[in-house]
Amino acid sequence: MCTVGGPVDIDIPPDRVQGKDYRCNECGERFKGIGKKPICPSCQSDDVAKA
Amino acid sequence: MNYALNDELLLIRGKLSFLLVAKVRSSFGLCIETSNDEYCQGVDAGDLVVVSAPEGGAVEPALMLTDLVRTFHVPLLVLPRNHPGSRRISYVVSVGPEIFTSCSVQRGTHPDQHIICSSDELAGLTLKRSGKGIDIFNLPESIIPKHIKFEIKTDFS
Repeated sequence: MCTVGGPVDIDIPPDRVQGKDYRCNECGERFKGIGKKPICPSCQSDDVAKA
Repeated sequence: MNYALNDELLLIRGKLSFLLVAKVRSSFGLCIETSNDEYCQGVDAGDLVVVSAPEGGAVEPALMLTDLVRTFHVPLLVLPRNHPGSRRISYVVSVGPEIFTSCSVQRGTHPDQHIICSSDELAGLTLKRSGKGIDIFNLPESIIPKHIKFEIKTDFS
């Protein structure tokens, strides 16, 4: 079964996730994006730019 | 092997556990909340929402979880590593174009959406979006995925 704390764990800890800072050009929301195609979590626009 | 999938869901059921797969209907920003930060991942129409129940159980909660994410865009919560609540999590969710199942991850503690905790009987699968459905690799021949329909209906009258 799935390990829940045993020695085998290929988990990637949250602090290793590298997000980039973005600003939404539609609503001004600032957020940390991951992945190839960031989308604003507030207005769902893909018109975003690196902050 | 390719399986057709539109708005319905695909249930991949082993002897002790199951996976539930659905396709995202429209693009949205998926928020992933960790103990100290928030990350937002762009999700495309056609990407996969996968719910895993490593110890099995009722399918209905998995159906509701699927819709909470793909319809209502509810954020995903990630527990800190070694959090005691990890062992109580019955259902876990991942969202993305391609998702691998693994029985070697700590349940509910990894923000990376390309991997999902599963039981060992369903570990090692690759679920990948494709034009008219999904591609599933390494699925044991004894397991036949089943299409199921789910719809939330409310009557406020």
